[in-house]
Amino acid sequence: MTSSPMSSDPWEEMTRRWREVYQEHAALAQKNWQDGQTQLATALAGGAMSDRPASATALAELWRSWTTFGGSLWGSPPGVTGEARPGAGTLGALPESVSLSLASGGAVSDALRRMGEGPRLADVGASERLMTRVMELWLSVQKSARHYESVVAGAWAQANTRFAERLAQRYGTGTDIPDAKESLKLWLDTANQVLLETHRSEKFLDAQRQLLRDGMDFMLAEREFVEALVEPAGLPTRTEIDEVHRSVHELKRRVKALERASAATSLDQPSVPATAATDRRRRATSKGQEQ
Amino acid sequence: MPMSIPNATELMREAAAFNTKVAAGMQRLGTIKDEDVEIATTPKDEILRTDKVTLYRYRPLTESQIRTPVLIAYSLIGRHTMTDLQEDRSLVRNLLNKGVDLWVVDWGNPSRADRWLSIDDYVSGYIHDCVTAMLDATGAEKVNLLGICEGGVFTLAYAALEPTRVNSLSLLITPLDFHADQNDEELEKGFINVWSRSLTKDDVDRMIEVWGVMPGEFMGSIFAMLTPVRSATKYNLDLLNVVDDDRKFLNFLRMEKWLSDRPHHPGEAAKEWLKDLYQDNKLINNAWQLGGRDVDLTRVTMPVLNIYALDDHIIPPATSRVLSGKLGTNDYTELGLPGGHIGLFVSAKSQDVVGKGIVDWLSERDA
Repeated sequence: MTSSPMSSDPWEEMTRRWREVYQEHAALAQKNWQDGQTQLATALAGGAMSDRPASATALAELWRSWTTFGGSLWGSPPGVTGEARPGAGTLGALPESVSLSLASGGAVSDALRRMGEGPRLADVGASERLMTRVMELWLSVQKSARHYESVVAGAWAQANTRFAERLAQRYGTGTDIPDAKESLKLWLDTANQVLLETHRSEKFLDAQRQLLRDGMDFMLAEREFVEALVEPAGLPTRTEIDEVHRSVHELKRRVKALERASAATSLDQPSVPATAATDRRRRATSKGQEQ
Repeated sequence: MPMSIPNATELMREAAAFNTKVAAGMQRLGTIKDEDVEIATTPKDEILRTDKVTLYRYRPLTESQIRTPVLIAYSLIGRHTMTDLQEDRSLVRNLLNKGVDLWVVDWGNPSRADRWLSIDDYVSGYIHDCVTAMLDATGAEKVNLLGICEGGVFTLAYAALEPTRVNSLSLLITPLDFHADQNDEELEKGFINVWSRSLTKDDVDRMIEVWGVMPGEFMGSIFAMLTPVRSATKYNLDLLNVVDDDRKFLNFLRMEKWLSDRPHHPGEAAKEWLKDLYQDNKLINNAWQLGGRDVDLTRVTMPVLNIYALDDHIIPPATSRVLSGKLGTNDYTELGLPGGHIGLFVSAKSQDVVGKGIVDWLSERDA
């Protein structure tokens, strides 16, 4: 994608760029998927299948699982219209603000960076700079999400291709031809194998780590921005609440240590007979005394 | 008659049968309420509650055979209810039926407010309090600890820090040498080890800074990557395969109920878990400290039973079978059993094996 100067309406420009990059990535990833399907269809068409009802059922299940996988890979979440989001289903529980992605644009990102890195004048434009930084980091998330999704899409495409190759090999030799049920198993085993290999690859781990890092950076900047807005209004912030929780936690620790020390002291009084129970309590408080 | 793909008539017929099955499944699902899918039903009584942690004592099902009480400590990742999933697949019931005085600690539902809880708070704090309560209630001098997965690490650490209070230690599916997966690398096993090592310490810190906890759903997504196709086909192929069998269907739903109950992991403890253990492997190298005290494995002087699952894809067997020669006791038993990380507790085949193995071992070492 070539960079070009921002227009007079940066928001409209950003929207346009996002759409362009999104469509570019989506088209490429979908092409990979469709190529795999084409190879699979070719391989299937080249072989003989049993006409037993069980086999027909199993083959239909194969196609259903195929479309299910496709659906999970390309499907839009409820409420999202328009183009599907490649890889959305594979992002699992990553926060929606990270996984929800449209596209990124180098020119937009550069422009925002220039805004964020401009001269800092006291009392002037602080919230704007924060907002710009949030936007810049959001674009980084979109970029790393696109890359991550392309790695995942590549794995699915590889699964398609490997499965088609295995089927074609069997049909080519005319031996060990799987019926529909075996084909389903072969497809599931092949996909599982490819995905496991992918998950352990440096390429995948790097892409996932980068997405995670960019997501975390974005959410921290987002928090900073929101806190800058609410703090002047006297509202509590996440940072303040975390501090309170930490104080409460440290107080609890001290109270428990004091309780144990106090119990040990009272048990050491001469009036208390030395029984097995008091011995036990003494041992129980040993940790408190050490503290 | 050979064919390339099912013809239109067959597809329509099969589609109709499929739709019928889906409709029946949906109808069946609609009739089942959450309370119908019961798990962890074995009766027990609350003995101690401190912060969000609760200590329970199970009611006996038969005459006592093991005098020393046994405390089950499960992982913070997941819930102890796995040990009592259903009446006929329950380690808890198997132990109770053999006369064990059984206790369990429930870690509760940590939230962001619990961000600062460390592993030492669990080991030297909550487990210590539970053990004290058990000693006070029973009059016993020591307890038997039974730690599962991360709970195994916690109980091992407690046994090293407070050896005079522990009669015996049983570890189940417990990671101990967090780098041993590299010596016995199998594609299906140990992805969590690989994933953890792919992060830097700063990555871990930032996750906790953002979320305050290690979110249960996030860990769930990592677990799903261990069995990618199984995770993807669970709600279409697998569910449809059992929907017309009431017993299997309810088994499926019970497991789903347990899986969906995945608590958040307190932040500081998660940082220690990932950095000190998964990344730096301090436990097995005797370099781990909790609350300023060394977790010295040579101080584990009581008998130790270490059970691992041969097909465990979460905790590779190689990472569990590593304690021989590391402890301060010669009474060390290592037992590899068929099954996976969860199958060890819920599979039909495991029911007679795991509980009996533990009780036989305990009975020879009862105080």
